[in-house]
Amino acid sequence: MRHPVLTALALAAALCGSAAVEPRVSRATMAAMEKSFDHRIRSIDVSDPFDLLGSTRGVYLEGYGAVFTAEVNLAVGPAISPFRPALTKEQIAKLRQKKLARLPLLKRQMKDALGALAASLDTVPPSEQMVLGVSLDYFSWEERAGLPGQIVMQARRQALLDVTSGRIRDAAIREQEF
Amino acid sequence: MIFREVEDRDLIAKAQRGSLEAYNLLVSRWEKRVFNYLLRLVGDREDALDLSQEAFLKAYQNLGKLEDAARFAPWLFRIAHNEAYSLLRKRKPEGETLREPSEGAQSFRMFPVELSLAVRSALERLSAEQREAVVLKIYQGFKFEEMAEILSCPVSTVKSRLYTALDLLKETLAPIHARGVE
Amino acid sequence: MSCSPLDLKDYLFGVLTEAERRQVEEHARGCQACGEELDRLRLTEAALRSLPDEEPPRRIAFVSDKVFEPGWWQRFWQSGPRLGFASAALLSMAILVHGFLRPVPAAAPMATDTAAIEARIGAAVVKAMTESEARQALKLTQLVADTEKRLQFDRQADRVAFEEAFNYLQKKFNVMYTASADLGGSR
Repeated sequence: MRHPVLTALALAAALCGSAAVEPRVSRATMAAMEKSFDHRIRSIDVSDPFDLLGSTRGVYLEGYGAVFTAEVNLAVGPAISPFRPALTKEQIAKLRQKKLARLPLLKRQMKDALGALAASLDTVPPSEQMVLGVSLDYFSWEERAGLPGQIVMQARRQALLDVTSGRIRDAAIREQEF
Repeated sequence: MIFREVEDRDLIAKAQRGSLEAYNLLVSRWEKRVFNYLLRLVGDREDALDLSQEAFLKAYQNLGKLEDAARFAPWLFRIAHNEAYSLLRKRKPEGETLREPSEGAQSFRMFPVELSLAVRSALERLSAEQREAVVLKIYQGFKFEEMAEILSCPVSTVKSRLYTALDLLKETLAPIHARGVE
Repeated sequence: MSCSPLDLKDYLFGVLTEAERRQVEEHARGCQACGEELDRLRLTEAALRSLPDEEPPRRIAFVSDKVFEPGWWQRFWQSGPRLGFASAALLSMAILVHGFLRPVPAAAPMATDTAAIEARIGAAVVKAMTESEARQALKLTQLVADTEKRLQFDRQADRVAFEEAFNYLQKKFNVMYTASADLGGSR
C-alpha cells in the first residue's frame, strides 16, 4: 500500500461507519424465526412428538445469509432412566425403523421452513443463503445404520422465493447429511 | 447381581460357622455402601467410619440371628441405622435437621456449574427422615418393603417421606418459572 | 397438580404393573403438563444420582488372635503366653505321644527325644500354617480382584448410561427453561 497511514484511517472510518448502521435483520425477527421452527418441530406429530433437545438458534451473517440450527431426537425410546436400558435386539431395531420412517417427516418440515424463512426475512438480499441445520441425537446403545447425525439444507433466498411449485423449490435446496 | 447374591450367601454361611476371612471379605464388599449411607446421615466422615465399624462388629456378633441370608442387606442397614440414630440423639436430643454450612446456597435457576454443590445443599434442607428415605431409595436402591424393615415403620410412611422429599428436591434441582411452553 | 391417572412417582420408582406403566407413558406423551412433570422428576433423580460415592478413609477389617481355623495344637501355638505355655504343652503332648509309641525310657534320653519331636512338630506346624496361609491369601486376593474388576466394569457401564441419560435430560430441561423464560419476553 502506498499510503499506509491513510489506508489505516480509511479502514477505521469504514469500521466505525458500519458499527453505526442498523443490522439488516433484527434480533427480534431472528428470534421469531427461531421460535417458529421450534413450533414446527413440536407439531410434526403431536401425539408422539419429536424431542426438541436444542432450541433453534439463528445467526445472520452479513454477506452470507441466515443460518439456523437445532437439535432433535427423532423418536424417544423407552423411558429415560439412569440405568442401562435392558432392551432386546428387536426393540432396538424397532426404534431404528421408527426413526427411519420419521426422517422424511423432518426433512419435509425443514424444506417448508426454508421456504417460510425466505418469505419472512425480507431484508436479506435475495442472493444470500438461507441455511437450516438439524443435529440428530442418539444414545450409544442405538442402532444407527442409515441414520444421519446431522442434516443441513440450504438455498439462495431467491431460489426459495421463485415458487411456482413446491417441487421446483425443493429442487433448488441443497441437502447434505453428516 | 445374581452371581454376587449367591456369593454373599456363601460368605454369610461361612462367617456364621466362624470363618473370619469370609466375614472380612463380606465386609469389604459392603463397607463402601454402609459408609456412604452413614455419611449422608451424620455428615461427618470420621463419625461415619466409626459407626460403620460398630455396625459391622455388631452384625458379626449377631450373625447367628440372621435366619435368611437373602435379607442380609436390610438387616445390616437396620443395624447401621440404629447406630446412626443413637449418635444423632446424643448430638441433638430434639432430632433437628442436620445443618452444614452450605457453599453457594442461592436458589438455582439455571443448571449450576457445580451440580454436586446444589444436590448436597438441597439434601441438607430436608429433614433427617426425608433425607434418609432418599438415601435408602435412590442411593442404596432398596425396595419399599426393605426400607420399612430398616426404618421400622410402615411402607406408607416411607413412601410419604420419600415423595415429599422428592417434591422439595424437585423445586431446587429442576425448577420451572412459567406455566407451559406453547 | 398432575392429571395423570396414576401417581407419576409410583411410575418413577417402578411400583406399577406393566399395564399401568404403559398407561402412564401414553398419557405423558399426550399431556404436556404431565410430560414436563415426569421430566422434572427424572431430572431430579438424575441430579441426585450424580453425587459420587465417597471412599471410606480407611478399610474395615477384623482380626482376632485365632486367625486360622485351628487345630487344637495350633491353638496352643497361637495363644497368649506363647513360649512358656506352648513349649510346656508341646512337651506334655510329646510325652504323651512318646508314651504311646514307645516304652518310657530314662529321663536323659527322653529330653533329647522330646526336643527333637518338638522341633519336628514345630517345623511341620510352621510349614502347614505358611502353606495354608499362602493359599488362603492367594484365594482371597484373587476373589477380591475379580470382584473389583467386575464391579468396575458394571460401574463404568452404568456411569456411561447414566451420563447419557443425564445429558439428555439436561438438554430437554434447557429447552424448557429457555422457552419458559421467553414468556417473560427477552431473547
